[in-house]
Amino acid sequence: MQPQTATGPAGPVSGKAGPGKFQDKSRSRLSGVGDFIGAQGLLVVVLLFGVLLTFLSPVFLTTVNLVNLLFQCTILGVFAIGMTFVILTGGIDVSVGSTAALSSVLSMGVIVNMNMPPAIGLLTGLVVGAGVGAVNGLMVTKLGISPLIATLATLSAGSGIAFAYSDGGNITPVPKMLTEMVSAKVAGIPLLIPAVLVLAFLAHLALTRTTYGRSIYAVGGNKEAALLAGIRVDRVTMNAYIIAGLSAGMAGLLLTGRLASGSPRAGDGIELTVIAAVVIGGTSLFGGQGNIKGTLLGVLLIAMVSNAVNLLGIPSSYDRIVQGVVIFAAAALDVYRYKYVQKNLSRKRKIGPPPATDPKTAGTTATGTATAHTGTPA
Amino acid sequence: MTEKPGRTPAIVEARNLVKLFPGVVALSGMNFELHAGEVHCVCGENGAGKSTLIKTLSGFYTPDEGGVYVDGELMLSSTVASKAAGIATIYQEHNLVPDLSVAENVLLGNWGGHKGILSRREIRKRARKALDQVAPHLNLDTPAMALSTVDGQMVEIARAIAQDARVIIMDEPTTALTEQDVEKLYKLVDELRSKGLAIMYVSHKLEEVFTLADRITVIREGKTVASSVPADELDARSVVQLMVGKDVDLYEHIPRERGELVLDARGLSLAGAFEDVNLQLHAGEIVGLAGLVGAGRTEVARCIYGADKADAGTVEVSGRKLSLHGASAGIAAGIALVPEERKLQGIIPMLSIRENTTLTLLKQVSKWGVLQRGYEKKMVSGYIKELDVRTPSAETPIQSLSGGNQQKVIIARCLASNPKVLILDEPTKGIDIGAKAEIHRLIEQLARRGVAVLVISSELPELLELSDRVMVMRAGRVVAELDKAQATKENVIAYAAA
Repeated sequence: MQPQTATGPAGPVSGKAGPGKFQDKSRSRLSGVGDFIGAQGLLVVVLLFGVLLTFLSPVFLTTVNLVNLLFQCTILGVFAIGMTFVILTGGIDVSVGSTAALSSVLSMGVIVNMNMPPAIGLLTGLVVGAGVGAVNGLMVTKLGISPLIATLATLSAGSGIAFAYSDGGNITPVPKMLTEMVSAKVAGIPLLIPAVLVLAFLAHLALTRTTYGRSIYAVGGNKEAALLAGIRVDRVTMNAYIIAGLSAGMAGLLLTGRLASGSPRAGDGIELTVIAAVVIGGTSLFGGQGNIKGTLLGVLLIAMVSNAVNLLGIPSSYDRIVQGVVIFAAAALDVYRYKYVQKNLSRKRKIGPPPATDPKTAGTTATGTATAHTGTPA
Repeated sequence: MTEKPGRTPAIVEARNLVKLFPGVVALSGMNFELHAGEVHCVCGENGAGKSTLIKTLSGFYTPDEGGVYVDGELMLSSTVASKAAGIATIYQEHNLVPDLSVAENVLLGNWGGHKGILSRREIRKRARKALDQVAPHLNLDTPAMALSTVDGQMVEIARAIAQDARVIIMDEPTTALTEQDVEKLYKLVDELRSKGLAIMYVSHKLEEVFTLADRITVIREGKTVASSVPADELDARSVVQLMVGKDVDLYEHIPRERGELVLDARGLSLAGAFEDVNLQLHAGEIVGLAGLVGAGRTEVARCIYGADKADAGTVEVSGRKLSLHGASAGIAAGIALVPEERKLQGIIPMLSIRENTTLTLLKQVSKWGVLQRGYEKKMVSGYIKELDVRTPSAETPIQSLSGGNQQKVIIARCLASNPKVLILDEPTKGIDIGAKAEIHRLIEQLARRGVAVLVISSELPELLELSDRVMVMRAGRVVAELDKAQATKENVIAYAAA
């Protein structure tokens, strides 16, 4: 029987099952539900939520409310754009709220207490933000402290410095230039809205069209592989924290303008909302996956939740409960999406239809041999 | 071989299993039977359905059609039922709790005890009893994380014994073992067989299969293509053909011209890894670096590449001394590395083939930090064609490719940087036989074009086949340098393990 078994597989029919056959397109295509969640899911959720609110409140779909809604998005958006960079590297920055407070207090300190021109003050705010980011980055890359702990430390220290410097009070008066910048309107639309959109677009270009953006995805997707491919992982990570700090500093200045004071409470507790917005927007906490478009939608959804609570006359304490539920849903979605993508994109490939029962095929020959064998016990 | 099976009824039998996953048919009519006192090997390429079959037998998956029969009765699809039926599975990745002791690991989840209170003495007694049958040399109090790979496996097998398993399923058990440890495992499998246990041994290493198997089942594309054939009626060639479904051109060595000296590493040392390593590579030459796992081969490669910093020694490429500072320095000097662990160190899973390929040369495909997509695409599609990467498009995420095609992308990444020296660390680990032969041919072609190639492989036949020259490492030192004629399996093992 040996020769039969040995020569069987060489039959011409068996050549059909070449590896090329497996390259079915459906392998890389996600199925319905996953597609929905993966690609346009959030947009659909935002729109459905909008339709629901239109029915629940007559005020929702008014120009005034919509402009107001977008205006509410702007500062959160600035925070979230920076945060997206950090989360894409697989890190996290919980210090952005206190960085904003520090930027707010110190910039006003420079202007009010030291009598510097406003421009120097604003620059100080940005430098403070970038500086805190650099400290975070150094702790994470050079000392190897986990991002959560490192930024928790700066959260605490930064907030402490802000309170210490301002003696817990507000620093006023804010220069007119800043308050006017925040509230400037053209044709009834706050200028801040298009400004943040431009910022988002720049961030989008940086992530998709530059070597730096590509490196961020590589570092977040597989740090070890990125390192071996010659990417300067530490530098890339460091810069992500600086970008997050810078955007927090910028947001701190905007908050100062809006609150009309340099306040150590500016941005207090906003870090969780920011992280929630980014994650709801589809940026994976595992790193390497996500984009700015998603982040903007995440910010919009969070702002809509607040808006809804407002419009429907729900006590404001419920706002945070609703937000908690939304964060939970987003995090669960993230895990689900991760597993789903893993399952569908990993080694599993589509298997062709069972080979025809041609007597010449390898399988039939060998099975036949085996049956013959087991049929005649020794 | 033990008494011919066939007359005794099967302990476990899988009848006509069909298992569908969304968009994927994992099993399409799989048959398998296992008798007491036999080693039944299951062979198949990656994705043939081996894992799905194992998971169905151990109750993780519910088959869509057909069923698993234990002693002729249908088994419920649950891990509890499978355990009750006496089926124990030893997976590729070890399932030991690193912080618990050997004793606790042997009885993991099966500690007994009274109302949740455990008796240390009772645990030790029961663990010892099971362990004595498998690995009497192990200490009960050693924490599991201190065990060697093979001892960890022994502990898992002891766990199966402690659960009164009748059937032991081993899934690629030798993946992480050294040649010596493999021998130990063989002996153990033999003993288990003579004790009357039924062993399902899943492996794609044919050497193992023919050493151990009483009977062989070959599966392909979710189907049984050769069912329970006695091992002496098959040979390696026929099994490969059954697995792949076509003839595989095996690699053939054709001598090449050896060119000038390209890489010259002298006196390389890294504390705790290797000491005083000298290594010369010439253009057009393939040098194999042999040795047991842990001999320091990978570490040497990483230091030459610049990924780790050596404590002492110099590396010159074409006469120019390297700074050995970071991988980018190695890349700039013309060294490329295909890393040992493709999944952990090679691919960026979520990124596309295009993005993975150009990872090392972001500078070349960009101007002022802005990527030139058109140029990048053209370059990548060239490599996809040249290396015959089988993919629907260059934009497909790399993780959806098979292991062999992923490896080709990693090699493409290395080629794109136009290296003078190419280091491949375990280039065909976990790769299908067909793709393996292609990668071998690719390596050969590169050498023919004048690239100096260093290959590290734990698969000795592969290493011997490819290499013009073999360096053997043992415990951090180069102990032998063998030319093609001297480099026989026996010779290399003698040096590597002495």
